[in-house]
Amino acid sequence: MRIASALIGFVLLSSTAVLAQTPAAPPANRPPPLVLSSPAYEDGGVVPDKYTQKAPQPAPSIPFSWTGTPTGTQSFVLILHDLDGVTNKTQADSLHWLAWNIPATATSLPEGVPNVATLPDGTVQLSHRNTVGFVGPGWPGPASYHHYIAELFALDTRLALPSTTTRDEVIAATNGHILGRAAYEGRFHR
Amino acid sequence: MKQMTLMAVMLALVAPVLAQTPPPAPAAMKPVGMTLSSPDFADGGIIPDKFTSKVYVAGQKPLANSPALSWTGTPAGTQSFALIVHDLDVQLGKGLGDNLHWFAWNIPATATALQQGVPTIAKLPDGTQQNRWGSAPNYYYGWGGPGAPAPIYHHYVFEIWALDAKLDLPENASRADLLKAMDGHVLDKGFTVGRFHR
Repeated sequence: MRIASALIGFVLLSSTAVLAQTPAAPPANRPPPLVLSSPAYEDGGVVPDKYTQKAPQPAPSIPFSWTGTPTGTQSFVLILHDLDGVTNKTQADSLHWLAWNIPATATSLPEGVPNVATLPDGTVQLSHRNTVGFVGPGWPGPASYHHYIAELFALDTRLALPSTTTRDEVIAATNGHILGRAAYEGRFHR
Repeated sequence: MKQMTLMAVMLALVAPVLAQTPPPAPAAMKPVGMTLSSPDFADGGIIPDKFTSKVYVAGQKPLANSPALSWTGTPAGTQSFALIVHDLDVQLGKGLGDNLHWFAWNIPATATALQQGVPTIAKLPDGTQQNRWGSAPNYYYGWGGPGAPAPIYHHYVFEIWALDAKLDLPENASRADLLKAMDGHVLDKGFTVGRFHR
């Protein structure tokens, strides 16, 4: 219920917002936006095999870095998901990585983050797919690419959720606490 | 008992993810599937200015033309398609919202494309209905071109959803109404992503 109302709230907000992007120039004092990137592939490009299910498993996680941390950030959430998967006729897509309580001082995640529930710096990774943390792209294709979107959220709080929680719980907990967001796109098929 | 119910709920939530685990490819992720593409920009590439708010003229509507889209792999049993276009990189308040640019529903099941410059009217001759913008009496409908400020690229996700039903939604339906009506009817979906900044 909580998730449903969060979703509806978010969509209501969204539907009014396109007009905010019409001609008006941004204010001169706008802070630099949160920007996510990866040294592993170009934005919109193809994820190299070494990070995917083509490689020996577990494949190393994709490295990411970011700039423009908003003032007041207490933690970051990183999610990597495959937009194209369909599950049981619902809108659910396919999760590949979810990490939260990434320290506010962090500006990157290195390649090959260990597949453990909690990192020394306090970062928590979701337990899913019989593992913890990053699962590489694996779309069998063979001809069509899937879209693996990495999204970084800067939060004004930390999340008191264990690795064994669910994606829905994490996303619901971020609602109302998001100071900034940024996306980075990779594509892949086998 | 309550704990068991909770566990069952959690398992139900986790199960679809497990169903998509690494090799071999599970049934839920059958290869091929739907694909969506545009002849007007490469997947992951840059949306040309002509489709964006760079061509807006103050006080004039319609705004920019929509890019052409086409799709393949329509699943058996498709009764209609829904289209959603949104910008992932916009933060609204502190909520989960991102920025909507277009949605349409009841696109005929026989359709495999949307032409460039879909008319910005509520209902097309083939029955396709489009989202409404603005306020009375100055409503307009459909494509709202990208307008992200320089210098950072935003990610505009184009989504085509094959549904096993037609949707009964009013002219002023919101994105929330559409998502709610679609749920449980999704047969497959195709995506393409364009990037843009002014």
